[in-house]
Order: sequence, then C-alpha cells, then structure tokens
Amino acid sequence: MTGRQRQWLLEAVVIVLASVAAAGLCASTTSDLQALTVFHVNSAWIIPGLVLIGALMTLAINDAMRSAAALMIVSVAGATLFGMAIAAPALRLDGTRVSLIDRGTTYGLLGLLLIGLFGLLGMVAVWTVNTLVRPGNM
Amino acid sequence: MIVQRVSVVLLAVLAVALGINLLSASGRFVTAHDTYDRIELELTTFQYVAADAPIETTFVARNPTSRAIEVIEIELGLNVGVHRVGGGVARPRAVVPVGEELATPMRLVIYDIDYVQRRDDGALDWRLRGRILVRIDPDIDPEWIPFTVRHLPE
Repeated sequence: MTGRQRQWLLEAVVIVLASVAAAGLCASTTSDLQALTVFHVNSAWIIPGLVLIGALMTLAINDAMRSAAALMIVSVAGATLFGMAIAAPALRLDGTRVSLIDRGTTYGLLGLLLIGLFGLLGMVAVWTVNTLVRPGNM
Repeated sequence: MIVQRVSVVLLAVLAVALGINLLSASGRFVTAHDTYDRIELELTTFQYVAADAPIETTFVARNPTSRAIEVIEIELGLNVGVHRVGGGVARPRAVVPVGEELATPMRLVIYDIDYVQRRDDGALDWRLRGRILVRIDPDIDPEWIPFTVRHLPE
C-alpha cells in the first residue's frame, strides 16, 4: 500500500468514526432518545463534544483542506444517521410514519448545522493553535 | 505522528461509546413505538339500565407485544351521539405481562340525566371517547393512547 493510499484509508476511517461519534452524541443528548441510551450524557455536552470531535478529526487527518472536506462529509453522514435513528420506527409502523419522518428530517437538519458549525469551531481552534505553535506550518 | 494516532484512538473510543448509545436508543425507540401501535383495547361489557343509574362497563387492554406494559389510568367520556352526558375514570396501575390482558371494571356516571331520558327510545347511540395512560418502557414517560368506541344496543 502506497503512502497516498494509506492516507486515503486513514481519512475514510476517521470520517466513519467521526460520523458515528457525532450522530451518537446528538442522539445521546436529544429529548427523544436520551432516556433510552446505555450511557447517560448530559445535554450540555453536545457543544463541547462536537467541538472535540471536530478537533480530533482535524488532528487525525493533519491537513487543512482535507479535514475541511472531511468535516462536510461527516456533517452530512452524521446528520443522516441521527435523523434515521429518530425516524427508524416509521420503517415498521404506518400510524406514525409521516410524523416520525418529519421529526427525523427536522432533527437531521438541526444535526447537520450543529455538527458542521461546532465541528468547524474545533477545526479552527486546532488550526489556530497549530499556527501559534508552529508558525512555519501556516 | 503520535498526535495523529492518539486522535484516531480517541475518536474510536468516542465512536464506540456513542455508537452503542445510538444503536441502543434507536432500538428501544422502535420497540416503544411498536408496543404503542400494537396494544389492543376492547370494551367487553356495557350495561345500561336507566338514565339515573351508573353504567357498568369492562374495559380490556391486551398486550400482544414482546414486553410487559403498565396500565396506569383509563379515562372514558360517555356520549349519546355527539353530546357528552357522563364519564368515568379508573386507575388500575397494573402491569400487563407479555401475551396477557387486563380487564378493568369501570362505572360510568351519567351527569346529563334529562337529556338521556328524553333520548331514551331503547336504541341510544352510545359513543365512548377515552384515553389510556400506559408505560411502554420503564425509562420513558407514560404515554396517553386515545381511542373511540361506539356501542349500539341490539
């Protein structure tokens, strides 16, 4: 495996991990699913958690442009997973199909904004620290 | 390089822990909605004697799902046609095991006796509008399930 292929593989793994983590964090802090989770996560952790995921993703990819592109993919994938977790009962039940798909879509859009904006905050924080610590790496 | 590896490991730990939360919560959410959808409600007896006497009814809640449910409260509003004439409340607070049923006797009081007496031609169009409060998962709030029953004398 060449170095470039290894980098692509690493980015793919990071994108999958960050998407699952972001969707799981949104699900763990939302009123619909919070009471049903295995590990209780206080709702106040959603913002610092998403900032942390954005920062870790940036550090793991270690390239400004690639990590920005990865964040966009993570936002869409994470929001889709989160929205589907809420809309999941609609796949089996007719009675609540419309309302649950509507709710899942609304929460998915909210998740997209949260993951994108606060992930970007984490990313910018890493870039800023990186620039301060290693000015030549700007 | 070390920072990169540590970041991937931390992301993996977060993904596993929060992924477990995502899967378990979504699974239980599906089960709760499925349970809500499959609970069977039936009015098995309805004994009307006179307008100034209470109506004896039996309300049955069946649990065909794969988990026990708790029936907390049943509210019934009694209508003749579209006119509300009375009602009743029962608070069984009983757990219905898987595949079993709970029969709750309910006494419905008629408030508007004059109206029922005036309309009582032996074939009153009784309609019961009610709701049942059930707990379908121990970790989530009980949920009201609304229903309507129509009783036409034979």
